[in-house]
Amino acid sequence: MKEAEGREVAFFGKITAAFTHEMKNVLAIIKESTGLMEDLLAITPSEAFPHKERFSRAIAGVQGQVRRGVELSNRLNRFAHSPDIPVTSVDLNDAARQLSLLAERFARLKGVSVEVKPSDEAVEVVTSPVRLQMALFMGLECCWSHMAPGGNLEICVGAKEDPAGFCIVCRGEDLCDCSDFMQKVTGSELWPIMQQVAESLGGRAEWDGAGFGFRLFTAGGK
Amino acid sequence: MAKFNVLLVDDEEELVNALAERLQIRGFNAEIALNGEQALQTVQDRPPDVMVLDLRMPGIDGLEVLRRIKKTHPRIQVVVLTGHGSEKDREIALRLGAFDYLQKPVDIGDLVQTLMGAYQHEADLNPT
Repeated sequence: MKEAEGREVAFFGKITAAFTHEMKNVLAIIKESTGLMEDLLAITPSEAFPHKERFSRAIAGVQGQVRRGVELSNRLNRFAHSPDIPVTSVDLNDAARQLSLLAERFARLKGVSVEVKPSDEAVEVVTSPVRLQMALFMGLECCWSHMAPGGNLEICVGAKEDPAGFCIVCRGEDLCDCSDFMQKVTGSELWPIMQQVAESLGGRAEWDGAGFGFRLFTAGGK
Repeated sequence: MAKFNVLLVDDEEELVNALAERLQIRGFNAEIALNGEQALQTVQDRPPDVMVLDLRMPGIDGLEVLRRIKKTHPRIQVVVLTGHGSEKDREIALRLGAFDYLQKPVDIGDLVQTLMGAYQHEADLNPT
């Protein structure tokens, strides 16, 4: 069963990655076509084309959206390649950065920002990249679902932890009652599922009694 | 720097047409080929100084074109420009002798700099 699930995830990843590559071709065509318009405008005297400035602004708008599309494609492409190797060496700093980019939009809809505080050194663990991202995302979702707009989530990568993992810190003006917030987060429907995913990695997830947040440990948890 | 010849190889016709025009505006002699077979034929007829090569194309793919060009026309510098690239493709392309490996979409300024670097590289290797 697990092998079949792995194949399904790999299949979804492969197809999604292929489409992100094709999207890059589409974006490249839009970029070069508008770039050509821009080049031609640059050599056209203003008096010969009275709408030159408005046209240039419109081109700049399209090019801005192309840059946005490229960034989104890149994020989706990296995510789609996650299941390429079911268990592999993962740098937790990279994983935190990638996940924060993927989570950014979801958090923004709640008015919450996500930041990463990487470790000074690379923190390599051998794990399932898909499940690691899934556990971290679910944990973040449990938090931002109970945070007010203007809040901030910080993903700290712990190099000196034993075992290595993440410490998620929630901040916000409304966060004053630690016990109430903990009950809301750990009472979420997703929380026990996230803990199960962490356990399936050989790790664990637990509320950080010292503050507003939780800890997600990778394999070899104490 | 002398005006030099660039061959753009990609099966995305609208992309290579727009790129070719943009390079021509900047003073390059730019020609296009829409697949690997066309690229190899153009190289036989009118060898360019620098080739910009996509990797994923129907028929003979970009890596095979690169392999054959480096065997028959090693002085042609090849810049890979792909939207499908992986780290493995990059390693293979550079090992096969590609001058550089760029991802689509590319900034025209970066492409021009890379083309000039490739041309200069060849001029430094084989001064006339």
